[in-house]
Amino acid sequence: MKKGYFILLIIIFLISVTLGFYFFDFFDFPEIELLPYYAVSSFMRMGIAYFLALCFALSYGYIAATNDAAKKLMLPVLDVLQSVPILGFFPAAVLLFINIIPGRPGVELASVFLIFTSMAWNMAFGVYESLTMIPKDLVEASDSFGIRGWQRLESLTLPVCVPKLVYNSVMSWSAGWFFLVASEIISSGSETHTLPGIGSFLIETTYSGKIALMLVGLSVLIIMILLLELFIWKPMQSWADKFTFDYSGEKKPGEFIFSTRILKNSFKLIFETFSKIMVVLYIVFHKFKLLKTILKSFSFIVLFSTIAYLTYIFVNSLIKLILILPPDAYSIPLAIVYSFLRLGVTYIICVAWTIPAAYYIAKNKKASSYLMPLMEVVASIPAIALFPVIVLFFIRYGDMEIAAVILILLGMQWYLLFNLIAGVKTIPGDMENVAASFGIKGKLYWKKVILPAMFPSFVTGSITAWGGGWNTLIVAEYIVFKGQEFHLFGIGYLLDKATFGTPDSGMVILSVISMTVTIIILNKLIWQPLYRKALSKYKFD
Amino acid sequence: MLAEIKNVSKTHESNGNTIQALDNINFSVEDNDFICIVGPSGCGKSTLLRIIVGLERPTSGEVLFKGEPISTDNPKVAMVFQNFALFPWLNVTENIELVLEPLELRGKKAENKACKYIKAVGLDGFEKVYPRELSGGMKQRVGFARALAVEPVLLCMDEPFSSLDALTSQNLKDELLMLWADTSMPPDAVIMVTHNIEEAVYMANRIIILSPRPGKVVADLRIGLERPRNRKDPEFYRWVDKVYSLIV
Repeated sequence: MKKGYFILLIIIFLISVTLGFYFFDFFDFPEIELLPYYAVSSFMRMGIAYFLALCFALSYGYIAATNDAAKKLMLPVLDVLQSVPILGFFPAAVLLFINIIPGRPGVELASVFLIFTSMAWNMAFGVYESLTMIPKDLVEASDSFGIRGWQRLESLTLPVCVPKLVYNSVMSWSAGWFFLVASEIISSGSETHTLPGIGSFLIETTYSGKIALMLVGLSVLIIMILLLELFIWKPMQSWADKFTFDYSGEKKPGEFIFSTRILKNSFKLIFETFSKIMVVLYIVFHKFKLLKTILKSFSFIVLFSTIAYLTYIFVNSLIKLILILPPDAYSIPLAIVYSFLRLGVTYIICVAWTIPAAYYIAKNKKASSYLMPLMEVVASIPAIALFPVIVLFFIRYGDMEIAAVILILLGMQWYLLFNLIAGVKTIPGDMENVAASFGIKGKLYWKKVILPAMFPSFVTGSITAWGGGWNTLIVAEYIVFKGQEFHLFGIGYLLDKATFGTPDSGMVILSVISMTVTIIILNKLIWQPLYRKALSKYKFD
Repeated sequence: MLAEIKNVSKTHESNGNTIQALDNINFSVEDNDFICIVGPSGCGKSTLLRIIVGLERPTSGEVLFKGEPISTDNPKVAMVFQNFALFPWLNVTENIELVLEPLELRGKKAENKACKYIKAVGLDGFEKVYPRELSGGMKQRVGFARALAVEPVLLCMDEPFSSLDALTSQNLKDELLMLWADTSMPPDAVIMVTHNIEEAVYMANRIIILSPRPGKVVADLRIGLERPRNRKDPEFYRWVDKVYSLIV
C-alpha cells in the first residue's frame, strides 16, 4: 500500500468522526463550533514562528559559516541554546513579554516566541552545516568560472541549504506542535492567560474532564498535522532531493497518491522568489557602502544592547538569588538526581524496544510498508496532547511514577526509533552480502555487524531523545487534573512549583540554570565523545 | 567436477514489469579452472555470480557444489566484492578474524591464520590499521586475504579490480594468479566477473561470454595461451579480438 493512501485514509476517517460529532451533537458542547477558528489561530502562530525561525536560521547560519571570528562565539551560543530546556525558561519569557506589551498581544508574542525557540536552533545548525560542507570541487568550479557575489549566492549558497533546511523544517514543525500545545495556556503567578487555539482547547477540555470533546480536538490537531505532511512536507522532500550531492542516480520511491508537479512547481516558485529577494538585498547591501555600514552598526548596536540588557537582568537576579537562597534551592541537586534516574530508566526501556523494532522494520519491507506510516502518524501527535489521557488512566488505576515514565517514553522513543531505522537502512548491501556469504549469523552478526553499524544513528537518536526527555520531564512531573495536583519529586516538579504553584522567580531561574548545566555537562562528557567516535570509526564512507 | 550451474534462469520484478535477467545458463566448473564471465553491461554477470555463491536464488534451475545445492554459508565458497565491503569499525586483522569465527576458529588460531593471509597478500605491517586509512589497492588486498582465509575451494570475485588503478590492479592480478597456481594454497578454482576483456584473456583459462539481456551463454572459450602471458604477444591479441567479436 502506498504511504500516501494510508495517510489520506486516516485523514478521511478522522474528518468523518469529527464531523459526526459536529452534526449529531452527541455531547452537546457549544465549544465545538469554535474548533475551526481555534485550528486556524494555532496554525497562524506556527506559521509566523516558522517564518521567523527560517529567517533567523538563514542569517545566523550564514554568518557563522562565513565569518571565522563570529563563528567562535556563535557556535557555542547555539550549542547552549539547543541544550536549554525551552519549557523551563518559558515562564520567564512570558513575564518579560507581558511586561513590555500588556494584554493579549504580549501573550501572543510570548507563545510565538516559545514556538520559535523550539524551531530555530536545529535549522540554524542545518544551514551552518550545509554551508561548511559544500563539496570543495563545487567551490573551486565556481571560482574558476568566475561565479562570485550574488551569482554565487543564487546558484550555490542558497541551493545547498535546501535539503537540510527541509529536513530540519519537518523536525522543527513536529517540535513546534509540542510547544504550541504547551504555550497556549500560560500561567504566571496567579494569573492565567489563555489564547484561543487547539492547544488550549485540548488542555482545558481535559482538565475539566470533558474527555470526548478533548478527543475531537485531538483528531482536529492530527488532521492538521497529517494534511501538512501529505501536501507540504512529502512533496517538499522530494523536491529537495535534487539539491543533494548524490550522483548515484538512485531514485527514492514515490510515495504520493497524486501528481506533485504543481506542488513542486510552487515550491520552485517560492524558492526562486525568495532567492531573488535575497539577491536584491545582497546587491543593495554591497552597492551602497553607506547603507552597509549603517546596517552593520545598527544591527551591532541592537545585538549588543540586547545582550547587555539580558546579561544585566540575569546577573542582577543571580546576585540577589545567591545572597538570599530560596529554601527549596538545597533540594535541587537531589531533584536532578531523581529526574536523571527517571530519564535513565525510561531511556533504557526505549533502547530495549527500539533496537530490535528498528531492525525488524528496516529489514522487513512488507511490515514497514504499513508500520512506518502508522508509526509516523502516531509519532506526529505531540506527546503533550496525550498526557491528560494517560494521567487520567494511571491516576485512577496505577501509579504516578508509571504515568511519568510513559509520558517521558512518548517524548523520547520516536527520535530513537526513526534514527535507528534510518541507520539500519544505510547499511551498505555489500556488508550484508559479506555477512551472508561468510556465514556470519546470530549473536556474532548482531555483535560485529548490526550493532556497530547502528552506532552512529544510535548516538544521534539518543542525543535528540534526551533533549526531548528533559523537556517532557517538565510537564510529566507536575500535573493538575480537575483542580487536583499530582506530582513527583524532581527538577521538573521544582520548576513547575515555582512557576505555577507558589510563584518564586528565583527558584525558576535556579532550576533552569541547574538543568541546563546538567544537560551541557552530560553532552560534553558523554554524547560529544561518543558522537566523535561514531563519526571517526563507525561511519560508512 | 567442482560446481555445476544447471538451467539457471532469473527474472526480476519491478513496478509490475518482469525483466528477464538470465536465461537458462549451463556450465560446470572443474578443479583448477579460472573462469572469467564477460558480457555487455547489464547482461546479468553479477547476478549470475551472486546466484553461484548463493546470495540470490535463481527463479528456476539450480547451482550444485560438489553435488549438493549451494548455500551462502558454505565456507568452501568465498567471495571478493567490487567495493571491498570491509567493516570500518574493525581493523585489518579483525576483519579477517570475523569471517573465521563462524568456522569455530577463535583466539590465537584465528590470529595466526589471519596473519598468514595478510602476509600472503603482502600487507604485513598493516595488521592493526583500520580500512579508512588504507588505499584502494590495499583495501582490496584485505578483501582477498579475507576470502582466502576461509581457505575456499572456489573463489568468486565480482569485478575485483575495477575500482583500482592500472598499476595496482596489475600487481594484484599477478599475485592472485600465483596463489591460484600454488597448489598448497587456496583456492582450487576461481570465477571472476569482469567487463575488461584484456583482463579476462590475461587471467582466465576459460572465458564464458554472456549475451545482452537476457543473459545467455554465447560461448565458452578455452584460452590456450601459455603462462605467464604476454600482453604484447600477437596471439594474445587474437584472443582479445575473438572475445570482442563474440560480444558485439
